[in-house]
Amino acid sequence: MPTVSLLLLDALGQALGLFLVASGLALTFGLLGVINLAHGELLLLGAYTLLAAERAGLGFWAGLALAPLLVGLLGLALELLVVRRLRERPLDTLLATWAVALVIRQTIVALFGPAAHTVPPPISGSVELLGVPYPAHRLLVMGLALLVGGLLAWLLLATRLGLAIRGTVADRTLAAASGLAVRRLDATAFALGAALAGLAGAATAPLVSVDPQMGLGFLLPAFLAVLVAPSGGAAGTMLGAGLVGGGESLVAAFASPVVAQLAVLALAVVLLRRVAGRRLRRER
Amino acid sequence: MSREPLLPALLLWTALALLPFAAPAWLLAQLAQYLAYGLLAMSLAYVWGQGGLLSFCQALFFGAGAYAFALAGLGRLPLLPASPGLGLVLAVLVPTALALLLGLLLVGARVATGPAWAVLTLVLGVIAERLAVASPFLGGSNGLAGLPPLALPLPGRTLELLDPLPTYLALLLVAAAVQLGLARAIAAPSGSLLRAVREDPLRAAHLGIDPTRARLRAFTLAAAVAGLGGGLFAAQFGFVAPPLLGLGLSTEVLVWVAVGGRGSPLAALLGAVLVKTVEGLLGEWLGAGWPLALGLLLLLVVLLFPRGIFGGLLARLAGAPDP
Amino acid sequence: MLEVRGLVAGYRPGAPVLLGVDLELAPGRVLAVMGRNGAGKSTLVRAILGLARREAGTILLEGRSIAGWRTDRIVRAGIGLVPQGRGVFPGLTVEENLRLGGLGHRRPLPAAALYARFPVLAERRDRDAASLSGGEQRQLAIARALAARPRLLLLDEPSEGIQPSLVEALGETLAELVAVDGMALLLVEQSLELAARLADECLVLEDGREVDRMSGAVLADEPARIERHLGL
Repeated sequence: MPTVSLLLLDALGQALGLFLVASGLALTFGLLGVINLAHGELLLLGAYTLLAAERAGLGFWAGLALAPLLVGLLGLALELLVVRRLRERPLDTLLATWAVALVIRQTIVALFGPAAHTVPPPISGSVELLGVPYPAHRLLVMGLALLVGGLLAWLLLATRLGLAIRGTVADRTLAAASGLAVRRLDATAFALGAALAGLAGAATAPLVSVDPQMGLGFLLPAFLAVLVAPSGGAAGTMLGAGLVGGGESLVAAFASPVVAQLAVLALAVVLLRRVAGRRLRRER
Repeated sequence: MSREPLLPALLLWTALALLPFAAPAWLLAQLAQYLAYGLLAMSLAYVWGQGGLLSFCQALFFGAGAYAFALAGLGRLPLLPASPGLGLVLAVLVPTALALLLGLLLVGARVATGPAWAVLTLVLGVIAERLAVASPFLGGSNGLAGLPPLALPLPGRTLELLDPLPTYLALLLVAAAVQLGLARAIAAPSGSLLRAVREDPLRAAHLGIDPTRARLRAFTLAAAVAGLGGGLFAAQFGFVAPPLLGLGLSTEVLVWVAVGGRGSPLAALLGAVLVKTVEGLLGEWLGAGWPLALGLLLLLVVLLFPRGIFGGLLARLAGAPDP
Repeated sequence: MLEVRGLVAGYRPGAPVLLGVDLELAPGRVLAVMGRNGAGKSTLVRAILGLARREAGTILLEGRSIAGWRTDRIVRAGIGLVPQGRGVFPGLTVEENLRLGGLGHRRPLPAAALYARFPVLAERRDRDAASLSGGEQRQLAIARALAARPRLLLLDEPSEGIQPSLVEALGETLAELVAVDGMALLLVEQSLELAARLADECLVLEDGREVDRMSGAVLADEPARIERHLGL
């Protein structure tokens, strides 16, 4: 029985952690349609911001606050300098953000070296849950993911900014013709998505090995989660993250990690085929 | 670009054919290696520039070709004799079959446009590299070494492709044939259909073109070319390893093609040779800074020269106006 | 209010659709722009709003040049758009559509005032805008534009695709906007009914140029003249 509890807790933890990473993508990609392949590296920057803050003696909580701020600002710069100029060329957005990812990764290598680092969790010890002891920081990250999910839903559904974003997504031209500054909205949403990546990186840093390659490991499942999400909002992304993150965690418990990845990929392809088929029927 | 200009291509191939009279052996060996990479670059230029499928896992097919060549050369395949010649055939067939299978799953799913395609190809590249590392059959992370070289049966004797000169000439012949073949494919009616699908799949479908089929053909053809490049690469080096399949090489080839020019295989080949040459000159000096420089180069080219350095040049030579 | 001189505009560089159009519109007046499909009517509306490429000419709003401004700034300066087609944000409720209409503006018209003018929208306030009937969507599109308190309203074929009885009601609504609120209307139309009822002046476009111009009275009394241009 304890093993089943542990299995379920791990799957839930994986799903919620993935949601934290995917929430930023849900904004930039799910809603605005900008494919940011540097999202993983923005997360990487969040993790290294935390590392630097710890080294500077600022501590975990200051680092956790600093990471979304710094990464959000970088995201803003990225939108203004790169993404905006390629709005009419989606394939080039892919390519350019992939280039940015490479640049960020190698800059991190130059500054911090290629080796992996560990960050101590702010709260050590474990909490008894479902009959098993569970690391407290994992629970903290799960709580943070739920909080971010709630805030994202609130932002989109209950604020003026959220309404403006949804309007721009529904019809960009009509939004501009209604007096909305759509380009400023693009930049705001992109910076917000980047800030969420920074937050995710900082929050998950104590759970993983912090190394320059960690971005890609998060980027791909997060993208898959957003791709298979039935809708673009917070709830849809949560479901997508549950399918991808939870699924991978459960399969990995019984088979090798590569097999788990293959299984998730197969699941994603099946779901995407259904989504694409539905969209095609609607267009006809 | 809708057509590959023929004259610059012929001039280039003639010049390269005359090069052995002037160039030292080490340079020929170097160029032979770059030409194998050039095959990979041409395959990506075709599927991306002409087909609109920006593949982030093109090295997967290059690596599959290399591994197929290695396995056949070492006689590791059941029921088949150890033969480099058979290996080269399999270096084309295996990636082709793999692309057909993946293509039926992915291209047929009509996810071929846009973000899903990019993400799925990225995932495929990552998984392929991890599978190769995890597979004892493929030699794990060490890869497979000690491959026998290709041998050409000539009248009277057998010519082994070990020395720089015959290797260079063989690669040159293959690269020229592939480039001219792709140029023909681009100029043919089916090439126009492919571009019509790239521009507007829905409209193409209304015109009676099957977008899935056109894309599947392009994807498979590109995989065959990449596999041939991988097989020839493995033949020169005598060993294969998982990075040949992975995202690192797939990213490098994106840079070559973006720098050279995505619209034209010839421009992409020149891009590969140019970037690899610069890497040879500066790579050692820059050390770990080289990948950083590659990233910056890619960013600048995408923002400032979307047609690539040679792509714009060739288009001007062909007299085509800017689109 | 609005003054356009020598406007050349289109979508691709070097391929203009409008080839030099002049017009003037005063507060409380209605200008109908008529012509066949492809005459450049919609391009004119889009060019005024900065949604098409302007290659030459001037566009003045209350004496100020708005050429080259971003669309949202032009809209905030007092021009509203009721676009061709459904003109609503699909997937958003009626209420959200109306709030979006006023979101970019300092003193938007409250939803209550809009519901008073369009009672049917009040009944549908929590429904998805895409689920409304064609006539209701048209009302919502107008109400959404009014939320920003525009002084000039651009309407791109508002009577297209809705029932004759609804066109009648639409005419009443628009006439009230002009008479009570002193709003100026630029009405792009292909059918005579709404234009003949509302227009003070009618500009006829063909292949991007003006081919005729007549008063509203002539438009209403001599339908043969405009019907010749429209090929009816």
